[in-house]
Amino acid sequence: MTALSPIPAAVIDRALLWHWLADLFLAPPTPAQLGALQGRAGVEWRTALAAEPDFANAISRIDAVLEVGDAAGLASALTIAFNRMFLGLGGKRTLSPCESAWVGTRRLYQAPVSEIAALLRASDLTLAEDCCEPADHLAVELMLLAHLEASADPRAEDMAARLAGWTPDFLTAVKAVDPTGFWAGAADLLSAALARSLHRKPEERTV
Amino acid sequence: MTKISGNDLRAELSRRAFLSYSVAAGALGLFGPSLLAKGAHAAEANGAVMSGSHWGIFTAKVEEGRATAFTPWEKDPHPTPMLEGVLDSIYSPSRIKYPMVRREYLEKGIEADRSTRGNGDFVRVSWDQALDLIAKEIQRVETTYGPQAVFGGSYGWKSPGRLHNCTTLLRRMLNLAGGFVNGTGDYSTAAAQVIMPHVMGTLEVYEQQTAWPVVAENTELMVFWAADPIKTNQIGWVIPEHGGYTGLAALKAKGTKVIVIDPVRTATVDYFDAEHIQPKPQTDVALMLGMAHTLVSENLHDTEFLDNNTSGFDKFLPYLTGDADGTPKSAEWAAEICGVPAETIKDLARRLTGSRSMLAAGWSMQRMHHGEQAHWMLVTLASMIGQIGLPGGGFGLSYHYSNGGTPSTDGPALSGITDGGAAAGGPEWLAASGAASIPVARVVEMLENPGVEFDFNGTRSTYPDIKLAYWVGGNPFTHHQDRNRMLKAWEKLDTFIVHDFQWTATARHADIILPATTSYERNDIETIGDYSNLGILAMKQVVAPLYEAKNDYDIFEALSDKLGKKAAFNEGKDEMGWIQSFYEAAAKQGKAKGVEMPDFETFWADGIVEFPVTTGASYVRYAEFREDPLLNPLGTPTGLIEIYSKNIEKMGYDDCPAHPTWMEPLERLDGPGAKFPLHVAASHPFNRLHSQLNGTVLREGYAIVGHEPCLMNPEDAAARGIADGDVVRVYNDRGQILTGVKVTDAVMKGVIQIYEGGWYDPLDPAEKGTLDKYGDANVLTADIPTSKLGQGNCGQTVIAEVEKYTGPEVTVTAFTAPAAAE
Repeated sequence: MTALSPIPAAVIDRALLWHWLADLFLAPPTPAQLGALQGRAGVEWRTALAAEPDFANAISRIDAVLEVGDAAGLASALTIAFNRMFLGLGGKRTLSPCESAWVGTRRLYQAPVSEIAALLRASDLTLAEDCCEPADHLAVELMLLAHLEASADPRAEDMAARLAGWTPDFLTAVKAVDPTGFWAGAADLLSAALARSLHRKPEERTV
Repeated sequence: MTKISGNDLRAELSRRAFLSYSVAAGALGLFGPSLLAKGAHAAEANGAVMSGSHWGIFTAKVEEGRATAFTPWEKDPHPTPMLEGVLDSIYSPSRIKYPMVRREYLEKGIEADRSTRGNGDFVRVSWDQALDLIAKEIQRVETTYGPQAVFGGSYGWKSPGRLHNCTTLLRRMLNLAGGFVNGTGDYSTAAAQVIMPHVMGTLEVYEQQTAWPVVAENTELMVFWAADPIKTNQIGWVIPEHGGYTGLAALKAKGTKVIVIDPVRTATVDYFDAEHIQPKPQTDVALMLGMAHTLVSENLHDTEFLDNNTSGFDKFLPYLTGDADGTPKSAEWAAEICGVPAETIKDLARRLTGSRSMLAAGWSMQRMHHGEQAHWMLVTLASMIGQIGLPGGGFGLSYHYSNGGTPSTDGPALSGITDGGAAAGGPEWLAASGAASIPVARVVEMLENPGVEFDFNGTRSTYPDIKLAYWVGGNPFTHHQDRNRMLKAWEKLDTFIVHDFQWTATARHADIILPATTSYERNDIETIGDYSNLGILAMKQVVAPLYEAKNDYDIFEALSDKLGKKAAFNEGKDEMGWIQSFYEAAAKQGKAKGVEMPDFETFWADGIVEFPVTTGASYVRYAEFREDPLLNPLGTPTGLIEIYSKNIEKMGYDDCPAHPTWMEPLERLDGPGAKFPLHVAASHPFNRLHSQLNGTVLREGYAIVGHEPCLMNPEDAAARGIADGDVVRVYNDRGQILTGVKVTDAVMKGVIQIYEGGWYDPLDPAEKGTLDKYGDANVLTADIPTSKLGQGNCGQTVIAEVEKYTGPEVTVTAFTAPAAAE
């Protein structure tokens, strides 16, 4: 099994956005990651995103979080929030970032896991060895979308539609409970990016 | 898909890109590694797997590696609806995914601020890093302070299975590491299991009862006293066969008279349409004494049985009549205490002697201050009635637990992994292994009082100075009493290590947390039926381990490896090697008993082997003792039922006299100086196993506005302006919790019922006495010992007040995220 390299920025910035959003919902940012986000490269990245009118409000919410406190202190606060919201420490209140939790019986590890696994197989892909998440985790689905788009695979459109189908309730819940604003901003950004992706012009939809 | 060249792709994607910017190369540092890799894996298999749990045997439907349905075993006479929750637990959103360490502990080690435990600031680490941390910490504590500083008395309802017995595996590893402090007894029956050997010469609470077919045929009056077998027999310590329900159904079919004595109208009351007597909680001993006094007053007691089969009634009698203390324990006296009319008490006493009667008692009556007295007085009452040892007569302390009374087979016993420690002498239930041992429910007192002496069942020991506690297969932050006191005491620990499969309150308070598999993610073997020994079940793995979870066995083997003890830990066996060895030892034993069993391969393929019932169906407890107590003596000093214990007299405890005695508890409903007006009946839950399954879909069937239910009498509710469905704050001097109210006459006036086992959910973990948002009854209960004799917990000793909650919104409404998907 060969791990995939991050998608080169020069190839496709949209895929990078999906990848970045995947990272945000996969794990809390480390102090190093926060430092990078607060640094020059991060500022440029956020500034570039904010230049897109649909994304401006979402980025401003994230900016507001990053402007407060040092990276170490912020990492601790964000970790506590992430662990409670997404990782299970919130017990009954956990908002699982997995598709199964938001469709059908709402139990984890249901049909969406097999469906995404099938999509991965069809793309000659599998989950990386160090990925322990189910295939229908939001981060996996976003990275698959990034891969499909980077590969100019027409199935990217269906993947985006799939995400747009189940994520709204999840993202609404995240915005309602996020005590930090960081994931509320990320939720707004993902909503806007998916909406934008699905409303591309017809000629942009196929290669 | 159209293949395009790299340059074409770049150009096309650049054109299609909906972000009108370019990303600087430096921004790539913002991104983590991909979760995807090249190369497709084959789809996982479909199938059906039979396995088992505390809730019974089931067959799991597996679709592409995912368990999608559990179907009860076709021979299960009463499958529990909780199986749905068992399946749900595998896929709980609160599963622990990977090893994690509290950030501050990771950075500062034992110098970390301990008051911030539970704040949720956990950082993911690798398995190797986590195991290294643990191994080094064990070595540090063992080397610096010795085994008396390591608490391995980890207690709780671990999963069944003879190999993946996590508490035994922990002790096996700790024994190899140098030793540890253990816990003696348990939270369920601590008082009973200490007093009963003095009275009956045996444990009683975990022993076979007179078989149900005998009861169904002979018992004329069945009294379930603080026992709700319809509810609690759903679960078993091993794999329940649910045979108790067959017995209950036979009793009902015959039309046997059933009386239930309980402050709450239980499921058993409804099942039998039983006569229901509602004493005030914690007054069972007074009620029994009033009945006993009636028997003596009306000369109804069985003097022949008392003379032949008991010892010390003559010393008890003056207390009963009041000759000793000036207070006759009459029905009228009892009525003042327990609230049951005197005539009802007298009538009950007469009916028990006028027919073949069985007193089937539960355990809540001994989980209270002076709890030793309850079962001792029950045995005394049964002795006065004189039917102990007769078919369908006497008393039983396990008809409600693990389907006691289900006829025993002739099958062999199944062995299991051992802790590797030196075998302790004496009765098993009082065995104190480890470098030292404390009564298990005194753990907080131990942490608060290192070096202080304590009494226990005639012994005097010193509380050790614990630096490291290691917990597996348990959730003390639910089952221990007085949560706020406990939180403070836990700060004494340098290090707290926990294995679990989900983020329980205990896991959230760990310094190092390791993700364990559920028993459905590994292979094991277990007995079917705690008392029946109906057969042996192959507990086959249903699905692959989720996330990064590992089996407790593998974790402790890896730790033993780091301690240089791997070979001693695994004895050269792997998972299936151990399982086969347990089975073959049983088969050898079976052969000697004339019970043939298939070879291991056949057994494993079949998944189950069942044993025949012969004499077990006609078993009458204490029949031989009754017939000839000289030839068949009990294990007491006199060989008789000890209504008066000289051994206990010698101990001289001020809180446990030498015969059954009514003693006022610390607090009770309408008791002297009671500060709060309501008793909290912290009963065993209907849809959980203590706290297990609270995090599953089952909760949707009972939670009220997202909170643990609080049953409240209409009069009590009206007096407080509380309506059905209100969120209320239940509080006393020890803490405060939120619950959702169900107004019902199922509970007597003055009593509210909040099931124990609700997951502790503090509003602000850093605030002392903070509000528990969900409804953990043990925030309110008293953490005092039953007495110096048993040192058991007092989870039923609790009074409180209730008010309508008017604080900030903390209900789960805003968090019912999955519901929004409907």
